[in-house]
Amino acid sequence: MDTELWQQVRKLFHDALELPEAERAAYLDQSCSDPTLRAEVESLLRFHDQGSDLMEDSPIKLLKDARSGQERDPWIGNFIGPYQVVAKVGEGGMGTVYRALRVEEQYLKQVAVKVIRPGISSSQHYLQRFRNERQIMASLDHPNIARLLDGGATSDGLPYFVMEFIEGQRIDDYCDQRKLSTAERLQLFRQVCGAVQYAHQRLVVHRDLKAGNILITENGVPKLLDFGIAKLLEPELFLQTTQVTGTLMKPMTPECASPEQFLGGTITTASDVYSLGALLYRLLTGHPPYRVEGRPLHELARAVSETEPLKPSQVIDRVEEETGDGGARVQLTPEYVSGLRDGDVEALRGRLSGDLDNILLKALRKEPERRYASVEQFSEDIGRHLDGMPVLARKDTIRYRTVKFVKRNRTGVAAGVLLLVVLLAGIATTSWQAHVARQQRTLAEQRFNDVRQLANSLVFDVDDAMADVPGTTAARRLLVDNAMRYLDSLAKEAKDDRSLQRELASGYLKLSDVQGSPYRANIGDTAGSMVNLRKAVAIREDLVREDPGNREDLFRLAVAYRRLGVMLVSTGELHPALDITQKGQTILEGLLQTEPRSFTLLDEMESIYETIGDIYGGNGLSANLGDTETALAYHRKALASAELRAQIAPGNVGALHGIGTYNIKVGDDLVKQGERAAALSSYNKALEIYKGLNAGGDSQRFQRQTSLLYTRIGDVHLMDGEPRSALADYIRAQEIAEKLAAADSQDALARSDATLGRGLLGKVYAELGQTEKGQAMLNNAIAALEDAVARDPQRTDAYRALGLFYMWRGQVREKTGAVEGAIADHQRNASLLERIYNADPKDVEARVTLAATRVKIGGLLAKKGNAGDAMQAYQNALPDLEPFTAEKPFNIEALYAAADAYAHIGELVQRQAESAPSSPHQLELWRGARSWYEKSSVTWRKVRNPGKMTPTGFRAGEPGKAEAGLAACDTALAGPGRGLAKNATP
Amino acid sequence: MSAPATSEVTRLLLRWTDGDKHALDDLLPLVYDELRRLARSYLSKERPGHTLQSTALVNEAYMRLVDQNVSWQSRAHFFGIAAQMMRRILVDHARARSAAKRGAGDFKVTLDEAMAISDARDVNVIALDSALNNLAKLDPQQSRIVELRFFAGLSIEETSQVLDVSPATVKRDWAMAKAWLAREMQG
Repeated sequence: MDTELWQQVRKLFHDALELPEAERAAYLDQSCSDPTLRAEVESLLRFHDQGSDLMEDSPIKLLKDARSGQERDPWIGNFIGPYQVVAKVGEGGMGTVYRALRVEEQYLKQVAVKVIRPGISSSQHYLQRFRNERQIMASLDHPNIARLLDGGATSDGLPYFVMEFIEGQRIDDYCDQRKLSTAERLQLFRQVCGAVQYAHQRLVVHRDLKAGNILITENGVPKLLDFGIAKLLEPELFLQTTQVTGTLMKPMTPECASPEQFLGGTITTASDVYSLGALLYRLLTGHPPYRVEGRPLHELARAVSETEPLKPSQVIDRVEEETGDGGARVQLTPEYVSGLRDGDVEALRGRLSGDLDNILLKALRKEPERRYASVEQFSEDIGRHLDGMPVLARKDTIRYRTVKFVKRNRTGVAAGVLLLVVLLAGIATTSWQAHVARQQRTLAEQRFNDVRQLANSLVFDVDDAMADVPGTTAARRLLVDNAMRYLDSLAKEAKDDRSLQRELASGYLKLSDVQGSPYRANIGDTAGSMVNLRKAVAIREDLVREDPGNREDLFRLAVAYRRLGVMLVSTGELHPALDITQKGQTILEGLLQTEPRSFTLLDEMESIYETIGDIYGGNGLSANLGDTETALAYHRKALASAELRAQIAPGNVGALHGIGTYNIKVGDDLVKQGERAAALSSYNKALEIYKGLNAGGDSQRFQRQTSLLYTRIGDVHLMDGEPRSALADYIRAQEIAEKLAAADSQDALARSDATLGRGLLGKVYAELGQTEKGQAMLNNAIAALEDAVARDPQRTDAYRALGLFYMWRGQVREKTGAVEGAIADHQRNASLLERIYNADPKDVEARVTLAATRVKIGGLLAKKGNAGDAMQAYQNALPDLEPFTAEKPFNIEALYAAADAYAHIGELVQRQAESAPSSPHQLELWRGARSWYEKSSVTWRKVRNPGKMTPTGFRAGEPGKAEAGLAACDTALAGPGRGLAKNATP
Repeated sequence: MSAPATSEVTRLLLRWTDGDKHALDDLLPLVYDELRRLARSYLSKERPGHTLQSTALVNEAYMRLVDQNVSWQSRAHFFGIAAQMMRRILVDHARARSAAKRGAGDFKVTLDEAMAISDARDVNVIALDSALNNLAKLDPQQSRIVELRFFAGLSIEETSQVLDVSPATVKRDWAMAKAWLAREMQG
């Protein structure tokens, strides 16, 4: 209909509306000749007359009605973060789980969101538990465990996390509905075991395994849910056999809870073994191991902890009634349960009696140490049963036979097993026990593989899991040390086994990490770390030599080179470090040519660029070649690579961490170039990244980065002459550093950060006029560092830090007029720097800092009136500074120090000129002074944007001093009034 | 979430009244958010015994967002915007609910699909929105009247003030629009 026609319809409709119904027809007869038009008007009038409930309700009421259908849950229909909540799917003690949607372009992604219950969110205890669950979920990445996708806090500050939404059926319903046979049920159950075993390897005990927490998807894939009461095992506990302590009753589900859960004992992986046993009992027989319904809890507790469950092959004869889903009563009869499984009662009984009776009763033993030692073992025994092999589970105790066996075979592999057994008591104790009856040879072979597997799982899985958990350093060392001893001895027996060689190389790297990685929590044994790194490199080089086309081996070699490079930097061997890291660079750049968007390759590539950048111009605490410009170029390359990674995998934590780190390094380089505003902007970019990452979890690495970042921002403020802002930044940094150090007293890195932070705070307090407080903090930090240096004399970075503190304290002392004390501190710094410099004469940073320190000492000597010594000090310093004061490349510290030294020399010469008005050399002296001032002025002009402090922390000289000196010299040289002209005329 | 400053909304409103088209782009989200926030608080337990009339909601938004000394034109403009935004809120909500009911997996939502599986109420809102778009092509004034009367809950009098047409016209146009929409949605 066009608008013209519409307007006619409208007019006719309006007019007709004013008339009584009876008169409308006559009106239309008269006013409308077009039958189409008339039909339209009449149709509308008809709809008008018959009325409609359209738009009768207020829209608000519509919204409200829509809600009331949904139990008025405040979240439903609303957003938790970016997720719109659709429906509640479950509720636990701590949180509620919702099905929610995230709209991405035109697609909707379905997720499960667990949000803490508002009522308990004020309790620190629950908040912690909630965060704990989130952290545990984050550490688990397994196809049979619901995956953690995201997390955050709602606009009201309630924490939540997001998991993959599993649409599926409880495992028991799934089995019954499909009438799965016993064998099929066992297969399915073994998959569940795999997931639980995986969690155990990451030190996570589920503690609430039951049918309701295991869903089977449409495709038949089991998914383990709800780690709400899961627990991260203490590593100490992990190493001990179970021990019962009187703790409070924890939340649990009675049907599957172990005796120790009923009795409030210590929960270990063995408790999950029990719960899995109870679950399997139910799946295979249709009955619970102990009747739960209608029994008071204390009675049930007694039954569970004192009586044996019926054998599965017998329990199927029982007739029980229980409440099924939806409240209906279900009659469990022999015919009913058999019908859902293997047909008739006798068939099922035959299937269960023997092996399966024994397996289930073993899993359900009261004493944790008498159950299967691990879920894996439980699952393998089921596997053996399915394969028709003899199973481990026997009625009698094997302990006694085991002991005898170990006594008989205290050599070679068997001894290894024993040691591991000690190490892993409670987990790996008995996997070999059953083989007692078999021949020695098979046993030895199998042991070899078991040990290898366990050692690997320790070195890689367990250690990775513990690396980011504060307080675990000592345990990590113990674990890795022992595991390595094994691989070492095994390697001797299998020299030609390439895969074993690879494992060995990775093991050495890992051990080296724990001993002394400069980047992560470590136990401060640099020398040991270096030895293991070199072992790893040697093995990797051999592997590549034997098969130069193997990309994986090439890649691993590059990693090992870079790691060795990093370690060499921390011991001050810069040129070897550069050489070896560049070998890695060549390999990686070659590999990237064929796969330019490989996430893993890019990841390593940027670490290499970063390391090379650090070697050219690091952050001042580690040795470097003092070439900031080249450093900046490499750090930018690394940043670009991290940004590419973040583009390939949006939200990837590693890539984001990279972007953060390289922004910091780029910022550091910019500071040295005098570009402090640009540097601050890089730092702030990094800070944003880490704020995001910290919100996502509690990894100590990111917290450390945040702390370091605040320190740097403080440094820039100090250079800009804003000590108050600097103080605020340092305090923020220190709060984090102290927290990390307190969390793990064994962590050398965290300790040194905290110490460094105390020194910085001392420095800035002194700067703000609180000299005493500042000095006390500096003294405290110095004492701690002197201690650290004494304990690990290999660490030149500790020397550097200590030197810095001497320097800062010297400057504070100078400010208070304690000139002697100031000189002593600077000299202490100088002698440390000399040691570093002598160890590697190419260490430009050390060389320049040493010279700058001499300039400082010169200034103090001049202050004391000791002009001759002062001059000597300046003259000693200049040859180490002048090579680095060229336009390009320059070293910022060298520029500051040289400019200062020139002005000081000018001053000394000027004073000589002034004090000897009658000297025949007076004109020469004034000209001399002028030329030194001139040099100072020229040098100052090369310092872009001079600050109050140098990046290293020397108090910077005054550019004005050169200009004032120049003016004084010019006046003297030109002025007739000062007797100069008279002398100048022969 | 706090309400945007009164002065900000007033300033944008005046600029728009003066013919600055861009001001509207900035204004719409502010009004949308405020109405949404108010709607949520009306529906939550925060306000026992609340009214379910959207006119109260729109009026409250007006009180909160706009300096009360503005001219009647600006006031009219505000209600026009608020009515549009209420419509959008309701439709967005119905769409989201329809989509949510669709169930598992990643999928593409079309209007047809959404309507096939939703509550009658949600369908009504979505279908009404679509019919109203068609009506606007034929008669923009009637479509605005529906927005003001239904979505913003304004009376005949108020609507006539906002649109600057006689109450009698509003009344007749409202009747015709309802009839037309009822027919459109039935078919």
